[in-house]
Amino acid sequence: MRNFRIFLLHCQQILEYKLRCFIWFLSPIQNCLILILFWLGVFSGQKQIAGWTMGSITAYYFLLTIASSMLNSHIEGDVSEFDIKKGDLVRYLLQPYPYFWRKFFEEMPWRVLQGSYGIILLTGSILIFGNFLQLNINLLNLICSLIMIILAYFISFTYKMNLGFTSFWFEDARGFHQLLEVIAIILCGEVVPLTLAPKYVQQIANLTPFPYIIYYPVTVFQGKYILTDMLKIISVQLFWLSALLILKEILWKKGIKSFTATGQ
Amino acid sequence: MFYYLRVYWRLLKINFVYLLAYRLNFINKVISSLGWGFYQIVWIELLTYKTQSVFGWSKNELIALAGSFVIFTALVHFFFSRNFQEFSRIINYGQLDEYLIKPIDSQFLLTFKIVDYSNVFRIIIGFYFVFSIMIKDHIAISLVNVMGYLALMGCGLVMTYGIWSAFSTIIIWHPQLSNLVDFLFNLNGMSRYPKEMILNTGNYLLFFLLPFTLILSTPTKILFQKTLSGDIELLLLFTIIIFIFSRWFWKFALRFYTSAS
Repeated sequence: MRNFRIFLLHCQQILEYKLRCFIWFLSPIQNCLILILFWLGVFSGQKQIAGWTMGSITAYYFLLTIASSMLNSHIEGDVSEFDIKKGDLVRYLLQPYPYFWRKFFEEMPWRVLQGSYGIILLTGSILIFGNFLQLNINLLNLICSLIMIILAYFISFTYKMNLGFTSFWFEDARGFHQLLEVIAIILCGEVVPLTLAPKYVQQIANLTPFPYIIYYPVTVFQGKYILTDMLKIISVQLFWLSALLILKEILWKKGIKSFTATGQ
Repeated sequence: MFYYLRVYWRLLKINFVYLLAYRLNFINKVISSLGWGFYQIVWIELLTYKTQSVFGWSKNELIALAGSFVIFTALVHFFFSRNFQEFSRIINYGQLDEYLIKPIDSQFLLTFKIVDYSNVFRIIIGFYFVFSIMIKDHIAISLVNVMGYLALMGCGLVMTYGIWSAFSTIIIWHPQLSNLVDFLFNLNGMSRYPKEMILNTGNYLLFFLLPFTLILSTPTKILFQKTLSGDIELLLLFTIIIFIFSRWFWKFALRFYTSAS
């Protein structure tokens, strides 16, 4: 109940800036539409590329937009710039509530609102243009993708928290954060579906947690895997989540010892 | 005019002093700037991995277009993007007052005060990609073509300035819209695609994106000696109209500025 109240409190905060939140959502939508236009050109001479058709690629980018709005946490800037560098962390440390979960509930309403914009847009598009999405949804896919979505969000959030914690040691880590963001965009499958990328990009991506945040939940929703593949993906997600949570504990315990805040 | 050039020269010097004072910050920005620069090339490499030509542009020409985008974005950052990022804070806190009372054009000062030197390296890698593709495709590099390329890119820069300025002016009414600039960055991303992509859809609703696609495809066509079908004229026309509109809109919006009190 306490967690839910904190969540509602932050919901009120974000609803104060609805237009801002909508603009955050417009950017991925615009990227998605432009990429679809580009693929129209690519597909003009051929019907299928590596198992993808224009219909499935359109569905992929639409789902990708919703997934990246809903699952891609952006908490690292907050943790690093405001809490650690400006010393706001002090007020969280004084509260009888874990910092990690407090940040989790702070971030959650943003993801819910942006994800809702995505779902509204998708529903609206289907109502206007008809069912243009080529999806192969059954109950099994739906259950597996729901599990994956929850795990994906936790992976993304824990990864970004860890990234924010690096500011305990680095005075200005924005360049490093941006560099990792660029790598993540490519390996998440935000540019092209990974099966359309060169083999070595797929191999590198599979060694990182990034495709497990967006690419796999989206493609599972599209019905591209059998049950054993889906279970394998879920187990890899669990591995990454455990690894990141252990890393988080280490970074937090070591970092908090080096943290200093001043005031009168 | 000379007065403004002299003021800008001073601003360049002041910003260089800042750069020397905050060296670590500068290094950080160079790292992220280069990262985003390389990303544009990887982006188009991935998109064209399974095809050799799209919308009448070969894969190499599209990479050169992405290279031009690297240069162009670096120029946008160098000259004005940081200033637009400050817009919301300045207006929200009522700090615009101090710009309005200075004996200089407020729009000029507000949009050119900060110069971001860290993007110089990005310009270099952009030119490297463009010229390496030209050499690979055995395209003769002539002074006329290079001058035309730079002049038209300058035109595109003025148009982008106009678009950014017009959009950011809305902040006078909605000072909390600090992320409008992020949206503008995304809108700018349209310029890395050829004009033919929009025309190909035949959808009139998408034609509002046409000016963006002209910004870089026109200079790149000049460099690669591709056929131009009224592209230069359209680019010039859009530049003039958008720039004049942004000036008018700024002056109009100032009437509604209420300061912080």
